[in-house]
Amino acid sequence: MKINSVKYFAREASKNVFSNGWMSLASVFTVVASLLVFGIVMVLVLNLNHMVAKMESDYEITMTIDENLTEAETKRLGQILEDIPNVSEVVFESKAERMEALRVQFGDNASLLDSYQGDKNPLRNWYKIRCVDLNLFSETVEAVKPLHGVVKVISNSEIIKKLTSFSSYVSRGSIVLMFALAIISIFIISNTIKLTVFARHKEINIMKFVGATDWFIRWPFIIEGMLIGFIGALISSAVMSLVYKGLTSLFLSLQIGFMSFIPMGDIVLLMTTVFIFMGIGLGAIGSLIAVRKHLKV
Amino acid sequence: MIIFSNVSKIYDNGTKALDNISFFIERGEFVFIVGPSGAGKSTLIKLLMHEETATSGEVIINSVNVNALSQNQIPYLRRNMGVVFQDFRLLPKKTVYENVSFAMEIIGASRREIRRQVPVVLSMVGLSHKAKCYPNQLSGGEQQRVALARALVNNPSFLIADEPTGNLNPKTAMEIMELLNEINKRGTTVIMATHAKDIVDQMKKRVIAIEDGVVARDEARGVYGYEN
Repeated sequence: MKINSVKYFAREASKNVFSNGWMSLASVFTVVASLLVFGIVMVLVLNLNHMVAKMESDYEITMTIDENLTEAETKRLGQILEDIPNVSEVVFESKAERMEALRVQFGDNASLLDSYQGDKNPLRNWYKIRCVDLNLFSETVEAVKPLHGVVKVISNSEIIKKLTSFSSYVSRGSIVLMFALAIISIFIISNTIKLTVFARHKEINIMKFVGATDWFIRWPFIIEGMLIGFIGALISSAVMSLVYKGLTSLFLSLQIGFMSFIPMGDIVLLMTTVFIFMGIGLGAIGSLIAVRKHLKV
Repeated sequence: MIIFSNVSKIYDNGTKALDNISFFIERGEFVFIVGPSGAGKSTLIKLLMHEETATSGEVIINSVNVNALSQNQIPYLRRNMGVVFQDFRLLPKKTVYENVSFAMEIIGASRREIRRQVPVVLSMVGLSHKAKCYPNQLSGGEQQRVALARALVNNPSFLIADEPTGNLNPKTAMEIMELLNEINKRGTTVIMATHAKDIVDQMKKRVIAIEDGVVARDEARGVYGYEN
């Protein structure tokens, strides 16, 4: 393909996008809608898997300790825990240490926690234990529960199970929705391109008798579709990035123990790449359909 | 050179537009195609442009058998010919210059070639001073000149003119004919389908008359021969 022709295609395609303003806008927004649904599912599933992976490497059972327990009593509790068969490791974390860890997790937003320092720290001390044999896990949980000073037992494996099934449920359930949205986007893009083809039938006729090749006539329309997809991808990436930033800091501020998120930078990079490929793909398919159906060259 | 050898064209609806027509046109000729409406002139032009293909017989253009061309090769055939129509077929949103440069862009010419060639043809048709005008700012004759410039800008070996003076007043029509004659003198074969009796009679060029799908006359310095 000659470089002059490529320049010509790009020029024509961008002209078409603007001269079809409203339809192009509608197409861009359907692309945005389907990419956003896809993006939400993707981000959700990736983060759930991330949490599961993180937890699996983590302690299996966590116990929060009554805040009225004295230091000596707390130590004794630690002894008792170590004596339980099937417990391989016992770790104590004070509420001050936990707050420090939370600040690290909050990163840039750590200042949100400034008012919870010292006496105002709402967290409790906790013990974490690791099991030797995961099959005896539920017996171990039962053995720990009645101990003096144990307020709450959190066992990750339960959460892991729930998260894993939720994650697969989400990804399976959303496949239909994604498909439907992709088809809608392709349909609307193809309609937009069809309008351009009709609006330009005079020009296409002239191109034909002056000796333009079929593909020369088709390319601007295909690029027009790809451009619509590309713009849609950029908008969805921007929206998703903002939403991700907002939601992760919201969830982190809720202080749910098992929550941890893939860093913003990684997600944005991955998402933008995937979105651009998908957007351009949707656009190209949509315009190919329109060109095949309506551009008899 | 253009050769029609025993060419027939029957449309899908059964209309027999051309019936076993044979003739040839040499490089550099000026030929009028005349005949009553519905006699087959338009079909002949369409066969030349490969808008339609012959039902039987052979159409040979510059030693290429057109019937045997694949879909991909047709554009390259068309680059050998310039075409002008009765209704000019200019793009209203492009300037005179752009309407002409468009024909070069779509065959992948470089900007440099375009900048060199477009002014040459515009001056040839006498419209250099109107390069920046839009078609609706021009008279009919001027619009047809733009169409001619577009047809010629890629240096075709022949020019097909389908009723080029049909929408023009007699004086403007004669100006266009002078221009066509000029183009012909520079070596381009000109094939013109027309109803204009005065023009044909005055030009004294070869006339091929088509009636009911057959060649009724083929005269070297012919006349129109019909009452309009």
